Amino acid sequence: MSDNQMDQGGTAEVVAAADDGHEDREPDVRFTYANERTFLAWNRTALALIATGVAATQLLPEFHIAGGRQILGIPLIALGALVALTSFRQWKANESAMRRGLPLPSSRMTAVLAVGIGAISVIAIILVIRGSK
Amino acid sequence: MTAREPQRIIDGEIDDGLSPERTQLAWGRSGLAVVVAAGVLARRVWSLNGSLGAIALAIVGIGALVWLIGMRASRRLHLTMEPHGLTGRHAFGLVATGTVMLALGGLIFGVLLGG
Repeated sequence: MSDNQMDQGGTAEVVAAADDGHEDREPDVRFTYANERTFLAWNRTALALIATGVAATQLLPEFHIAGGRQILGIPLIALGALVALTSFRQWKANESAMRRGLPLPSSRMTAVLAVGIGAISVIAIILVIRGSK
Repeated sequence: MTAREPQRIIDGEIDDGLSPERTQLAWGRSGLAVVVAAGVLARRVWSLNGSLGAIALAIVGIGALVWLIGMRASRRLHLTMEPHGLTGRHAFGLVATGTVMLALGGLIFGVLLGG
């Protein structure tokens, strides 16, 4: 992150932009592309979560626990939708920060994704141990 | 807008790390993921009968279409090589909206009604 800020050409210029907080200028095109690829990577993650959630309800055998497949599939799809929405917000926030020469904003999405997948794994383990036919 | 070469000279060094090419590949991978996700969803909602099935397929189809329109819009930005920064908002907004539509379609029709 700090490398990105340092490399944006003309350190003095960046500092001046950060001071008034509003100066808007086109960032190094490499960073624009990098931001775009990050957005796309999150979007693919979202799509994978959605497809996995739907596939879980379709391909898995039924569990003893009623609605077991839905219990597994719905959180996956909801997490996918959340990731898709927040990835767009994050892309916009990053792009704005780069244009103003400000530090890139931090994102909670990595933590949310890790905790979400961890929680869904626990649900899956419980379903497999307790609910398999 | 006229086409021009991408920014290749930075601080006197010629190295853009093949950013445009890598980004194009990322779009390709993502497009493939959309096709797979839409395929899984369409397969799931296919069994729904009557108007419910038609609505479900329409939501999945429109979601994928919106995503691909966003991809096309971003490609236009790349081809012109104008600095696109925040003007890409439109394209990425469409991509995010398409993904959320696929999620909603999957949630409502694939899981809640079709499960």
